[in-house]
Amino acid sequence: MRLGRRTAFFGALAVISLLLWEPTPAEYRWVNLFAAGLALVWAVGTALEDRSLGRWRPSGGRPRRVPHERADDDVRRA
Amino acid sequence: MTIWVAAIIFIALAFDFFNGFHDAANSIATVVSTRVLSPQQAVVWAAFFNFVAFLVFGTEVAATIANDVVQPSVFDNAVIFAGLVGAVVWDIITWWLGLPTSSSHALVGAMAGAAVAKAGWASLIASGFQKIAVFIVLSPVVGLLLGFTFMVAIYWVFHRSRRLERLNRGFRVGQLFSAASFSLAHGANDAQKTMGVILALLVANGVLPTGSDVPLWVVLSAHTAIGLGTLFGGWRIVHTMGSKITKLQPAQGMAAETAAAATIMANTVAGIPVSTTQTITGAIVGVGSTQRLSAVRWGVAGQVVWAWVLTIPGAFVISYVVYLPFKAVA
Repeated sequence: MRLGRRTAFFGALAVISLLLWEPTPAEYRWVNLFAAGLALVWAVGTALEDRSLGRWRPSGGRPRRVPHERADDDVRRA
Repeated sequence: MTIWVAAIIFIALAFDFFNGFHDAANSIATVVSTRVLSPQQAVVWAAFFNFVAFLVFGTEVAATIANDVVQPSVFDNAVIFAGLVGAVVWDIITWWLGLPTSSSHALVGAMAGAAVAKAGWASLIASGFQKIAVFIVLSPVVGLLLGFTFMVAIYWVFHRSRRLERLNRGFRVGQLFSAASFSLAHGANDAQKTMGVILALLVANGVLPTGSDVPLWVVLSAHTAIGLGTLFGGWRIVHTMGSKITKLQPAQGMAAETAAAATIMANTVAGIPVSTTQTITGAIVGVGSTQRLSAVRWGVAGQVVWAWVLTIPGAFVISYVVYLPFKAVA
């Protein structure tokens, strides 16, 4: 499966947060864990979204719009 | 208190004023662009919350600047003067070059440069410096992730709503609160950096004993300076507003400001000086990433990374050079 750009982006953020574990003072290391955890959640989330978009893609056509894209348009119109 | 000390306090407050002046756009851009408030109303709104931040937050960031970056015994009038001049000059250079630099990091780098010029590398406190350096990177990253999370949450909650007028009104009201909380966070974290410098100056001159809390008059004058800076900076940017604002919808502006405010407030409570500009930039990138990565202005994000790399060394070198004549005289 091809890795989406957003998945790679959030994966990279998770790696950066974990790389900063060592220099972060011990009392603040929960911030690294929080950031890495959140970034991993979104890496997985965007990977699943990309996968579902791939499944929904009609043959030879553009992918169907998923709910969040429709909501995005609604917010923009508002 | 000598005239020399009073003059340095004046320079510190001027640094604070220009901080508010420079960052006013961060606080009011989204509420003005979505016409929730007029530019004049927005400026007064932001300045008010900059000022009242002292009622909500303590002075942990001020204590970090005064005690945890440079050995307090190294501070004297010349070191603090050179540090302030280094920070101001760096701010002016980067403003002229159009780089989104951080006044906070410039101040830390400049104080370090002057201290090293006076007493060598041993004058720096590695643990304090390390804490600030780590959060230079972590704060925008956390802001980005929270911005993305809040925006996705808004999509999830409202994606079935068809009452767009009502939804829009709700987000506009929400923006009032998010802009207020961002201004509160900005006032708290940034004004405290100036308080830290003035505290170090007063301790160095024997006006206050070592380990003192920040006096109330210093707290009030620092918040007044940053509030006035926002007031005047906001007035000035009214004329260029149309071309400089990032195009955000009310929901996106609310998500970005809330994410940045939460990040800065958490840092403020922990006593960590962070860049409000870079944190809001991270949050806006996070909100933009919910659409697609190409929607993000990566050029601006790249400039932020350059500002990370260059600010502390740049301000360090300038204040180091500014201190040298004092060393020669001494």
